[in-house]
Amino acid sequence: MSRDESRRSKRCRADRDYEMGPATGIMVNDYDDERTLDEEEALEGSEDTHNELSHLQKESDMPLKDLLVMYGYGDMSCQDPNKAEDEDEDEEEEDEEEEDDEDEDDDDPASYEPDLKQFYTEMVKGEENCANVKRLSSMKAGDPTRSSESATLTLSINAHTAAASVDSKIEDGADVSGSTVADGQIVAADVASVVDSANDTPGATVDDNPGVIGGVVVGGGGGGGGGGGGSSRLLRSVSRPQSEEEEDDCDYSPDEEEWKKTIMVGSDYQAAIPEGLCKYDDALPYENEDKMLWDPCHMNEDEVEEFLDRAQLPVVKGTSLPSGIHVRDDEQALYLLLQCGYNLEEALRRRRMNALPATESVSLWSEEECHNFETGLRNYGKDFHLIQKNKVRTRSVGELVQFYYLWKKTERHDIFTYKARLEKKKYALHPGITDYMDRFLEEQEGVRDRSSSPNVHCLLYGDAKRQRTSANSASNEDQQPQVQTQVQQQQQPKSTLDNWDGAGVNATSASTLPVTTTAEAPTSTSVNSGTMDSLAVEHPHNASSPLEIGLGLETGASAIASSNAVTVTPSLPSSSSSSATAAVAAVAAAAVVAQQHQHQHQQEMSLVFKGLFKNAK
Amino acid sequence: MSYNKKVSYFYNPDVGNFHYGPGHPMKPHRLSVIHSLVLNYGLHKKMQIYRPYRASTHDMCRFHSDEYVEFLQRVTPQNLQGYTKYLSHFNVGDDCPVFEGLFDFCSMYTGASLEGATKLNNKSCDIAINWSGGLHHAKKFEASGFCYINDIVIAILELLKYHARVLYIDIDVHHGDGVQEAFYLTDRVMTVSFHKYGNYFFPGTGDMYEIGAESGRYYSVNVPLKEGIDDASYVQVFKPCISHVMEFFQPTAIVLQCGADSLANDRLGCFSLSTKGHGECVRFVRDLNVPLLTVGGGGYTLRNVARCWTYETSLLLDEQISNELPLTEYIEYFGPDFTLHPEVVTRQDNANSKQYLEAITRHVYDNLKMIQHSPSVQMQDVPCDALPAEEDRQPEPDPDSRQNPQDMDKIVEPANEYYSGDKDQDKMDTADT
Repeated sequence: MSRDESRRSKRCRADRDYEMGPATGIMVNDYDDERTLDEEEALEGSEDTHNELSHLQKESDMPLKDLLVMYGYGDMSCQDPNKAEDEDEDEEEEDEEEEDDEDEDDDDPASYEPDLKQFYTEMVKGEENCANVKRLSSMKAGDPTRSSESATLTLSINAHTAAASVDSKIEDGADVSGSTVADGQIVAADVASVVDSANDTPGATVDDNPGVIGGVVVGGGGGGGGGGGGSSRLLRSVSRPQSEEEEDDCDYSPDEEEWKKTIMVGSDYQAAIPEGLCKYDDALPYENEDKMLWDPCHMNEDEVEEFLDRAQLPVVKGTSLPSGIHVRDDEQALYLLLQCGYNLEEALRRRRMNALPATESVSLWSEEECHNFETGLRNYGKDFHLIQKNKVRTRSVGELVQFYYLWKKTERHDIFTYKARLEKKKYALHPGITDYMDRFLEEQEGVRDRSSSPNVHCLLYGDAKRQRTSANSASNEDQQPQVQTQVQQQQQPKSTLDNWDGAGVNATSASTLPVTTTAEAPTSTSVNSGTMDSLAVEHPHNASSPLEIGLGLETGASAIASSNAVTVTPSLPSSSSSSATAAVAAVAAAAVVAQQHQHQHQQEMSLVFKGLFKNAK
Repeated sequence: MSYNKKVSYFYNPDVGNFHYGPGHPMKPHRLSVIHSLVLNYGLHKKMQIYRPYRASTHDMCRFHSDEYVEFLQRVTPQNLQGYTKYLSHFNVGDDCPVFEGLFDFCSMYTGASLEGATKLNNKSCDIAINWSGGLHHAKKFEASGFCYINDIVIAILELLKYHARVLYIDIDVHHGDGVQEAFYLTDRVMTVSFHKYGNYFFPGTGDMYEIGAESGRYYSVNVPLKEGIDDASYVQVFKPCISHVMEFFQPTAIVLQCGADSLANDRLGCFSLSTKGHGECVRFVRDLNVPLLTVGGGGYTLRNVARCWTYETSLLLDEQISNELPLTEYIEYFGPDFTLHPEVVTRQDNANSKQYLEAITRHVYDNLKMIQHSPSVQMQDVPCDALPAEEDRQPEPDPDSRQNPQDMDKIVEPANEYYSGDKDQDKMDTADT
């Protein structure tokens, strides 16, 4: 609509900025613009800084009332708000006159404050001129009385802006003089509040003219952090555009023209409010299009708990997974119960009939899919649409996203990023080519340390159909629960140690059977899939320190997890991804040998590893 | 004291599986994480669970323009090229990218909010929860700040079918500009937003002088705050402001936007709230005993958002849940403490002085008092045809006969709480009566 226009008006205003008096130095000092900075420095040079400082010092010692009088608010502070409505109108009239007058007396900055007022009026006017044509056409929504309202707007913003400048000046002064910081701030706050209570025309934002507002609004773009020239402000880029010191003197208030946006008024902006109240018909509007999955009102809690307990039994039996402190609510079981009309027995019977309810949302991923996903991530970054299209056609984009968030916290991910780093060092970058991996890696910084966490992943490695082709030991590495370290370091998932043990997969099955079958059995709980693996790689962020590889061997049907920590050199993981199932047993054996994690063994181990993996190929 | 509020929870299992694109801070998957925590804490079985209706274009057009909704429906990452001229027109691009499934996403979160509103209207629950909603920046004609469809506005429009006055409260760190703008001219919706303001902070609106216009004058309340506000300061402002709002506006339904980017250490936010402080606001609103639609909103540090909204789900249910997080597939995200309420380590000082907070609270109070001076038909609970015209002109629209005692209270309270020696307010109050 008026976008081009507002850009133009922004330019108009930018030009004007440079004509402003000293006070605008404050106004524009947030401008993230080299030219403006130069300008500002030039201004500073020409000013009598000592004079100003002493001035400010004086002001900061002044009683509030005097200060207000000095800046022209003395009379307003004791204004009776009850008369506000009347005075509104007076002000409106006055202001209309002002508007007429002020075209001429642009360049006569007698004091800061008139200067500021002038600045604002002028600015608005400039934009009005720029946008005049648009204004006429966009006035359609408004009625004639509105023009006086936009005059009010000008006045009240004037007052507001002036207050703001008082505020910022005081604080500047306080910063310099050092001793009066606190005073200055309090005064500033008070000034703001006095002004606001006195100034009863705060709705400064009413205006029919999108052109004007657009100009003010978009003008802020230049200052907003990364935002370039006239582009509109971004939520994500603007979070902390300012340096520390700027923050200090930028409390609530000043220099609003630079960044302030305005609420727009007009039929293009407001919602159409239905008149009066109405009633629904017999049926709720969307009643048949939603789906109730559970309603707690029909049963008491104990019964439900009991049902959930029993519903979990058949699944848990085989694996003897302790349910932990919290009993997980099983959405499907509850839905089944609801479908059975809250008949416990019926629901349990039906549940037993198909003991493994088809998990509608998630099916486990094969190693092939995992691998393709990682390749895709390497090539396209987190563009799941492209990854889906080119690499993992067997999954929807939604599934990719879901998988990504689970994968992200596995050691497999750690290996992935680590390898990517190594490759980075090896191959020179192609300049000019967007490197998604770079971006990806940057985002990963600082999120790594999970040495003390339990590790559960239900999504990785599934699908017995596919995994025949590529069961490999790398997958094992990713899923290691890291039982030993984590449980020692934090009391929280105490029960998890048992979990891992109980559901443990023996080493032989891990190496001979497809990895994924084990993961599939206990689908009902998310805990279990972390159990079938025997290797864990946990490496520090820091490439210079040696990688620690914890090798967890879960032996035999007794299912006792015994973890051995082995230290290897950083070169290891680069070779580990293309490992094959056979390697697991061998590695495990090697790990036992090297149990003591002595440093002298590092080299050897690394060689052993490499050799093994090569052989495995 | 028994807690007997019926809570409905709206969750579409697919809503978490969208991705805004590489490097984008908005992560819909946080919704899956929250749901997983809710399940594992055993909160699921204590509320009515709905897989909600998906909003149609027709629903969206109750607020948004047809052309904008149609654009959202048609545009995909594949056909983006053909829409280049519309992208800037609708502000779709940087902050609000076109991603795979965009329209489905919008339709899921909007449908959930809309349905929450209808359930409240029909009194089939007292509290409706939709963590996927709360996209408060979206405008009638354009996307803004990660928001495409303003589900809040659409839900409020639905509530207005049954409720004369709806209160909207926004505790996101960003100003709730889309909702405020949508209802800027009406006195049937009061919008109250607590947010960081100034210093180029998005979206740049939310000045305390934005109070509404025309009939809606004094029906937009803005509480601009500075960075680093902590629990105590926030609650110090939140509670009195909301109490005053309740007193003067007397809403019959409330929509609470629980944006979790006001938590400490948010990727985009700059406040220092803990999950407990944030939750305290939710608890306070819950205890107002008015039908409540709770929606999500911002929140860009995934683990904290999940903690916060899980905790708030438990508050709305009035269920105690342990500080120790249950084991879930997402447990890794919550290290190294694995607790619901990790200790808040703030990286910045609270820039809000006590004086400032008192001043801003008083400002809110002063503006709210003006509602009395601009009487409105809407202040009657049920529209009644036989209403005598002169009653409209009464300065006190409350039909209760307790007018005078109320006025007396109003004179006393501000003198005690906020005014220290200023003569002006006394004058005003005496002029009132």
